[in-house]
Amino acid sequence: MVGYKLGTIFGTHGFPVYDSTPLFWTESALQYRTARRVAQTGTVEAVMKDAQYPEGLDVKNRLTVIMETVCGYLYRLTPKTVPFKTFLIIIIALYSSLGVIPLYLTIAFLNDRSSALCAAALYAVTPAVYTTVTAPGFELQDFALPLVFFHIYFFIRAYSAEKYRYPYSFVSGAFLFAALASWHLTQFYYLLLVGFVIICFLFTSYDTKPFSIIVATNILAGLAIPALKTLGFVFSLAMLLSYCIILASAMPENRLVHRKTVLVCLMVVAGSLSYHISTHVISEYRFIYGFMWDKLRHFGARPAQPTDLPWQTLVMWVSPFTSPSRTAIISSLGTVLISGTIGAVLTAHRLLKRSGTLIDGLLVYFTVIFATLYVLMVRMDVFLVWFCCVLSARLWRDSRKILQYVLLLCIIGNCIFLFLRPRRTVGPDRNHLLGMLIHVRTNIPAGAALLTSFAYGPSILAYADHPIVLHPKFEGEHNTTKIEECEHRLFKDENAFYAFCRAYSAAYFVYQVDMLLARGPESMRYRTHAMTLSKGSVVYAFHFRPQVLKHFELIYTNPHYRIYRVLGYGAEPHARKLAYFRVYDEQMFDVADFGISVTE
Amino acid sequence: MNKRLLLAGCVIIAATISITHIPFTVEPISAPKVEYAGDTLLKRGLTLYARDSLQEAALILRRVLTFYPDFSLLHFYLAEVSRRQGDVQTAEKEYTHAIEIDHELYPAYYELALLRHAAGEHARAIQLLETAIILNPYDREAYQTLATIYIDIGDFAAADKVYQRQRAVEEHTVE
Repeated sequence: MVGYKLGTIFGTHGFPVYDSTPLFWTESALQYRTARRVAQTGTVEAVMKDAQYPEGLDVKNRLTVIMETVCGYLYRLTPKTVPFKTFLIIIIALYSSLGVIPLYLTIAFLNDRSSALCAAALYAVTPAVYTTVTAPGFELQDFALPLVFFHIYFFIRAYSAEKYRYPYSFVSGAFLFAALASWHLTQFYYLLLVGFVIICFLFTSYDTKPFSIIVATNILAGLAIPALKTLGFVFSLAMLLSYCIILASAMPENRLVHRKTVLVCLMVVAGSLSYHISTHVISEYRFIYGFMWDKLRHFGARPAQPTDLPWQTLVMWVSPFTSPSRTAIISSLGTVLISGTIGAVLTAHRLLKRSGTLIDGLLVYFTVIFATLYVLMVRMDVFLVWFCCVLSARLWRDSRKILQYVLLLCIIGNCIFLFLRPRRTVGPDRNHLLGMLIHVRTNIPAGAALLTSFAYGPSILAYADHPIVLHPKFEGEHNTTKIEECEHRLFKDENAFYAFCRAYSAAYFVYQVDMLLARGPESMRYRTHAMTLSKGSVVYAFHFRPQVLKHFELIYTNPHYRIYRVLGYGAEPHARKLAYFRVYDEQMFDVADFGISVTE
Repeated sequence: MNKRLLLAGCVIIAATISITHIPFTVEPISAPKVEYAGDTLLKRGLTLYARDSLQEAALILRRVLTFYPDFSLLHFYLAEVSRRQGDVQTAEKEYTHAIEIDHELYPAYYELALLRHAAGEHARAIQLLETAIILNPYDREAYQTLATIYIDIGDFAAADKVYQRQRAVEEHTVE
């Protein structure tokens, strides 16, 4: 697995051996920059002023930086034989592959070693496992997922063993603790686990004690981890439901009090309380729940008219939170879909015959849930693959020989898929991005803040060391409000946008051609409901008529980007003779085709 | 086993808490400035090129390739240096590479067309110049060269059409 990851990244033509610009993209670039800071100085600024200029990004209380810290410290401890970015790629390739160990251990524990080996082999050749690392990415999920999988392994041990069930659940809780501290989305996984526990509580005679230990470690995480504390994790829906389960199980069972009824009542209270918290106290939850609700409401498909959805939903409704296409499902999951489905059917059959165990229920539950979620959000593929592989091991243990052959064929099939699939690079065209970054590094004075779209901010911060106004971490306080305001003002007049630049002390603005020309479902125009525009909007001037701008001076241009200097009050822009690119030539376009009204 | 598991859990929790607290500092830190050797070399290479120190410029720009292997402008400048040094083969290779990376880099099409024309490959030169004109319809030199090639090959009607096209664009621009 490690070899494939490294081979894919380093073997790419054009891999910058001596320079990292601009290897990582958006969130990965921001995380790379933080890790580099740790490697250089051993510290991280609690409030990173240059990452969300001018107020600063409260890294300590808002973000999870375990991955960056671990990688940075490891680099400090090891001899500096390779550049930091190469070290980072090697470390994350190694670390992210650890998810196969809990997979092997789980199956070896539940079945036997030979089926564990087969399932591990299937996991190792499934393309979805490599998507983020080979992008190349430096993503939090690659760090957190092995921790989540180890947590699941120990959770299974806790609920299977007669002896040591509490120590096992404590270790399971400890791994979940680490995962929660590493990746915000772990909370989402935990909510699903709570869902499983509720089902078990309602329909079986479920022992909640091991689960209570996990809840206790989670409470500790909610209190000890600054980012979780800020998010009010101990009052999140998942935690409130956990308290309900523990409370209900603690009730003495008698004729008057029925535990299951108590749980249902408590869940209603918890749901109402969570709704109140997310709408009035902690807006971050409203953001994600609102997005999930809108996705479900539209069955995972974007509406034809963006006006049906708010900006907050549309800004999240981008890759990797989009639904996968049929081609993407086949190319990333491949044959694991076949073996996983057969495994799930066999296990479900056992459950229906009442010969299945609680663990069988857990595995089928997670597989079904993650399959459903995967249809809504492509990012869920990593969970789905893991659970499908665990269930695939059932094929090896089945008495029917044909199922063993099916599993072997699935492994071979995915192996072929993996080596034949085209290489996918995440991010924009590197040539023009590099050109723009070199210009920023060599021509823009140090310390000058740049306003870019939120996705491009980290590239400027990481590879040009300039403060940025916007970044893609929606957890950052006020960041989403700033992004929303910026994106909306871009489609208004020049003065409105200039006021925004001045308010946040942006000295330069980086314009991208897709700000005006793109109208697809992931475009700025789509999410700001600006599908039709007038020629009087500032974005039109940024693209076609820089000479009419009064407060912005065009200083650099390439076919994808333009850099504007934000002028001081009363300053006159200087007309510069810059290279011609037809993409900026008004006469080359029938602007009506781009939803731009011909009247001024 | 019991104790070992408990100890392992405690270690994981303690390590996580430590890692989430240790690195933070409230003071602004001044990290050492990241040196972009590629930028410095590129600047030096271009300065040498502007000063006509072609051999040195070529050496420096070749070193920049290790930093930015897929940067179209770098390949373009390398081609320019090679062309001026008289190394037509390398120049052609680098212009072609620049075009492969950036299909819109019209100066590369133009320069490559000149080399093809000099090599007697008129059809290819015409094709490249037509592309250069599509990419930049205001490139006066491209029209002139294209018309000259047509004259060289005796196609005066085509040359006249090129001049007409140029005039139309220029008149349109004046308007």
